[in-house]
Amino acid sequence: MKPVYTLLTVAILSLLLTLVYVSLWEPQGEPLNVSTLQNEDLLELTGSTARLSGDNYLLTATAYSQAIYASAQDKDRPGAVVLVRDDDPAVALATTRLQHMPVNAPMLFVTENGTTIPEETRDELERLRPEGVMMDNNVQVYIVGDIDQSVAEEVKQLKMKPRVISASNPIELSEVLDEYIAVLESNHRQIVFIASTDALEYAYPAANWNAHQGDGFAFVTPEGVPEETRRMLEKRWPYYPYIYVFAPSSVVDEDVMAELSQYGHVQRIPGDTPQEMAVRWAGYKDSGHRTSWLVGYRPRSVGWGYAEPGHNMLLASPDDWRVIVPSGVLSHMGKHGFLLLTGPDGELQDTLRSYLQVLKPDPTHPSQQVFNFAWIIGNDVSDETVRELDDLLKVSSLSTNNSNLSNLNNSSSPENNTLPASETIPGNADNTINSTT
Amino acid sequence: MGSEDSHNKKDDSKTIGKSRIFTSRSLLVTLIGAFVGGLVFGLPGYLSEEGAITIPRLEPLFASPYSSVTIFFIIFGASLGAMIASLASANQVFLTAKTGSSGEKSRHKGQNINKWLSWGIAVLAAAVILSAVGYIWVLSAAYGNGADQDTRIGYTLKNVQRVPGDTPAQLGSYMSRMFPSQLLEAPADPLAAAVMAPIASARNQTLVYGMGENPVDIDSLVEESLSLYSDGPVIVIVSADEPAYALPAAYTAAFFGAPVVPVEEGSIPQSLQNTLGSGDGSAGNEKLILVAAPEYLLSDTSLEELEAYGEVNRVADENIYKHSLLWARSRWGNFGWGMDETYHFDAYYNFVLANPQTPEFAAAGIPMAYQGNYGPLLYTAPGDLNDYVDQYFWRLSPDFFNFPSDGPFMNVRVVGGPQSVSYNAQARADLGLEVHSFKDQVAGASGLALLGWSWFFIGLFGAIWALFIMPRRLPYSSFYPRLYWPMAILVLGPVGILAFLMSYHERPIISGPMIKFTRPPWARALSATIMSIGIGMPLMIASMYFFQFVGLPLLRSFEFTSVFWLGSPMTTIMWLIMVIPAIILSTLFYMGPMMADMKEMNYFAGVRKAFPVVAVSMIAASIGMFTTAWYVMMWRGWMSGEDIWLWVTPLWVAASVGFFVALVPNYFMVKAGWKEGDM
Repeated sequence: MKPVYTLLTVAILSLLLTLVYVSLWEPQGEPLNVSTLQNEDLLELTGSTARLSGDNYLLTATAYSQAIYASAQDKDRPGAVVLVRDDDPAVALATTRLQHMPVNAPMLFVTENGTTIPEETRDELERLRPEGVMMDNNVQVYIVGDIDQSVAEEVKQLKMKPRVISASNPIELSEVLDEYIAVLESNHRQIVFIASTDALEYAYPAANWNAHQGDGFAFVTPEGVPEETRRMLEKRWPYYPYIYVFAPSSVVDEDVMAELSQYGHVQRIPGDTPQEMAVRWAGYKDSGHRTSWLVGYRPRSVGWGYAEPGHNMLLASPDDWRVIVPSGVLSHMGKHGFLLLTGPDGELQDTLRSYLQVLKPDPTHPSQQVFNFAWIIGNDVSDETVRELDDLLKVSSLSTNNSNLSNLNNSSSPENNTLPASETIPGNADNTINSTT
Repeated sequence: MGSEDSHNKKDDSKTIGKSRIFTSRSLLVTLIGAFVGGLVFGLPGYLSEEGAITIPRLEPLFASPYSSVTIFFIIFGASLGAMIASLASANQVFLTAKTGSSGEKSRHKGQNINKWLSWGIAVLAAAVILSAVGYIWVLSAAYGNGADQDTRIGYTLKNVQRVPGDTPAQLGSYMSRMFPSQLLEAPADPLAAAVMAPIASARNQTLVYGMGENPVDIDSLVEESLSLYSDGPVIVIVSADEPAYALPAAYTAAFFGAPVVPVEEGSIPQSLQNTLGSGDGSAGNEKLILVAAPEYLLSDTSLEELEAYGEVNRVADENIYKHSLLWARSRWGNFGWGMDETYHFDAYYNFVLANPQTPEFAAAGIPMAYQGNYGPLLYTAPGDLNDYVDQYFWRLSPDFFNFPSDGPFMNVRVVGGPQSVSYNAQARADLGLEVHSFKDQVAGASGLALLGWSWFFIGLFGAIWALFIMPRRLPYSSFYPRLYWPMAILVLGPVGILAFLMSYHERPIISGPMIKFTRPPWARALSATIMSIGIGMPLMIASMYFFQFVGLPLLRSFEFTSVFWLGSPMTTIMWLIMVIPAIILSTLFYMGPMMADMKEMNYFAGVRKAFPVVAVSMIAASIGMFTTAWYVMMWRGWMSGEDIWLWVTPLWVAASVGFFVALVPNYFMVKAGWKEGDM
């Protein structure tokens, strides 16, 4: 065989195979071509924030998914979509961990007691056309929780590959899901978050973290630590789990904490209200041992732990879990923000205000400036609150006579060569500019 | 097995010369070829990294750290150049008469079915591998494929949002919503807005486009601006024509504080002359005059007058997209954004993205230059994102080192409707500006990915080179080595080329029923290893790709057992699926018939003899390969998939490790006489 024939055959065959892959691509759709004013109030922008909302909770979940996955080219599609029931907050909270890599998925809802894929969800599934999770048979849709078989059938009719992870209740589900992820990652996650089935709102921030990091998630009940959770905690072999409890002592008391300590290192996230816990969690960082062996180790680093400018967040009203929990996808990609909550009155609380003081950037030359950014989640946060948040996030103004930005490097006499700061950094010009009207 | 063989056996084991891959002349030519190739490809690589040219559709390569694209192009060009030069300069070596070669030849004359199959397997495996690695290049060139977007709620994306406003006036009034401070009404004239921008910013007002009376007295605005900034060190000169060139400068002037002065070709406005002339002329009061118009709008001669008053510096490019980038990148002392992408790792940049054909939108967006999350103006064409801007965004593509939430983050705000800036251009910017792990940039290339690609291209060109050089320089080599050596080099890259040279360069040739090469034991182990894994390894990679394509098998039946990890696609199951077919095919179609030829036995005896050798080699190689792949993917975060740029690196690194692991048992098998390693 002459080498040149071999080479040619290889080249032609490679080309043919490539054509086959290309022919398998999704057909090209119509690019978006609507008014930029469409839903402008639901997608309101300020200098440092952007709102993401739909007309209802189903479309709000869709709005998150649309922000993260443009679906305009192959690489901005998700790996899969996670479907959960719209009436089971505990399952949704436990499931956000599945959204993390390698699955890479937004969370959408099924309705009518887990029997129906609503139109809003179906539209988004079709727009997304998930790539499939390579690590699991190119699965495209995860159906998680106590969901009717017909939903999986409907997914198949949409020509997508479903994976059902089911259990009759959330406590059992968290263990079943943990086993699935253990097989997927060939490891049980050593970090485990604990929520109380009685006070789920405290665990919202943990759910957002989990969409971003995919750690373990389990429940305790007012009766104590259920059997499923115990079994789950025992599986972190050869080391023990690091357990973080998202509930104040009024919900999960010292006895339960002591019980959990039989299984591993246990800590409570501070905060007496869900709002406070969200703020404390944003600043929380627990570092140290996770696994170690003869000569090596893998450390743990749990919590966002941000105490400096240059970070992003999500601000939600605590009223509707169906608006909050799917927002995990915004912590998973893009701005990777942590979740913060307004008070029950819809306003920012003082703990939050003082935390945001910590994050407020000082101005430096723009080539080295850092900024904050916030997603406003859903339509329940008022414009006034957004305005206040925007003020708290933006780069602070320079004090009047700070002229460090206006020196040109060839200056010889500084006083002739400096601009008043207010002309350099806009924001507080009122007291220096008076020569014009 | 003809009678010639038994005849030849009588004067067996005669040295008939030395094999020589390179002569000193062909080596020199090859080195020159490598140098020239490196230069020819390296230069455009370097120029595009400097932002001077673009490589359309390959912008995602630039997500890698500064200099890695240049290095990659140099290596690509050098290996291509070396291959061409070497093949062009290699003389044909002819068989010496009256040796065993005649017998050799007769045996190789006919392509029997087994040989056709061997050839077919090699060709198919090579094609699968090449189409797999080529996929990401096709994907990148094709810009991907877009879904139907008609169910979208709006244009908000994670890194790029669009400001509501279908007309410039709507956009202008939206600015007053975004930045509800005192308003400064500007007429619907981009040039007037550019002049008013620094005035509004100095007074801490929000410029509202399309509200003020039109026409406006620009001269008096200029005067006002000049007196407002009379102590300032910078004056920005723009052309009164084509405001698209003025606006990137106006954004800068608005933030950093400098008057924007429109000038018509040939007439310097009196107010400007007054301002500049009134200075005391001391060095301290000399202004830096930045001209934001290309030569064709304001000629050098028309600017000569200004040189009396200060340093005149033209900051403009006729290419409007490069013009906007120039203003975003440049910095004079502390004036100017200075957002240079080279070695950029930390700061957060915000941009306004507009279409230069509709400069009214860019003008209406001016408040975003100095309020909120402020930043410069960039331009794009309406369809695809402009190549220069695309490349700039991929270069700025943020890297994270611990957590993606650590930052930095980049954000863009698009102005204008989809006719100005399409959804696809917006989505492309959104993709390029996503934060990724430093080592795995996913849709973009990382330094590690480009290193893998460099390695791969050395292997690819090395494989083609071996395919052609073997019949030419090694006429005594037989059918099978001519297939498995190129295949081995394809997956082993430089390691394979070195093994090839060590096995064949300057080795005495011994005649006999089979021509043999005399080698020291380590080189025999080398050659024996390639012989038994040269086809098996590419087969494993090809089947790996096949499984990635259809999805790796995950076995849920192992859930809730103590051996749950057996269900993971990365462990045992995959290994079995990949290694067993590779062993069987290698034995039946390569090692088996070769053993039969060498030992002059029938095919099945050869297969029986070959099987343990192949099995031991392949198991050793696959253990090395799997352990490495598992380690780099699960522990080092080099996640893989055929549609990400990092795909080749873990696989090709793992293949080389597999080779070194397989060397060990092969050395002992050669010593024990299971195999000779002298083919």
